[in-house]
Amino acid sequence: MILDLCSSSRAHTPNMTPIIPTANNPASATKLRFARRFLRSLSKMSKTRPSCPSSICVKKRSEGLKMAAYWCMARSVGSRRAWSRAILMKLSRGRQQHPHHHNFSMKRKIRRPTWLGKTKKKQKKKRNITCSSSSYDDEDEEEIMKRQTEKLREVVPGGKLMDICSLLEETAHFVTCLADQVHVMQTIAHRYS
Amino acid sequence: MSSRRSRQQSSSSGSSSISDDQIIQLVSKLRQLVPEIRDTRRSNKASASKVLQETCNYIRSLNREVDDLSQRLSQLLATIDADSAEAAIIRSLINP
Repeated sequence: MILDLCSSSRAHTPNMTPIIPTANNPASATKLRFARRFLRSLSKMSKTRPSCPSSICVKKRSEGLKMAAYWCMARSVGSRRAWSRAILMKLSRGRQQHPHHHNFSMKRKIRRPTWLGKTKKKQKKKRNITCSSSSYDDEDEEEIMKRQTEKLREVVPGGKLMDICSLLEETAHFVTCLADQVHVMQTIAHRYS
Repeated sequence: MSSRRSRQQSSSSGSSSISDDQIIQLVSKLRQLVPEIRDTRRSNKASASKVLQETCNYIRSLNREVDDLSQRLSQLLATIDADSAEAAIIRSLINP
């Protein structure tokens, strides 16, 4: 239902003079596209309000709104980013995954990050006191990096399939777009509260 | 040191040194995006693992923010007349 609301918003184009972002303002074209799409989805949702005021309905509505926000942002970015493609693919399958559970990945084995190399065996044990302090620090730092990279793969949509370079690039773009999404939603909530 | 070199033997040394530089560049790009790191005085000294950790935390906090805002907006939905307000909201985004 939410996807129908989002896709039908394309059919309705109000007569608006196009607003072109200038060099001075921080609102990117993607952010403005998202704002337009999301507002149209909200407009559609407010017209199809369910009659039951129960908490379950309210919760479902809030979940639907959240999915609509992610969908609209992914649509505004389009298919040029792996993270937006992952969101679009996930949501179009109609699954009710919650974004804050960080389960955007497709079900595959976690690949070892390529920048750590391809050997499977560890060369030195962590607590081996005969190691020099520099190699102990290297091993620690690499283990920490590996753990953090795996955590990052969980929060970035489509992250589990990427090599480290793509992951970092996609993360940078995803963080920017997510911050824009939050700003737009705050602006709308501020206006109507 | 020797353990790191032996790990890199399987991949060509040329490609691993290029990707290390790329990684450093991308991590410094992330450093500028995450407020926790960007706004501290030691932003250039934050290690790569710290940058990744703060990025994960930042993404999680943004997702929580989206959750809260979705709840607020769903409560305000009845009062939203998005068609007429669209121009005003877009304008306020451009001129903050």
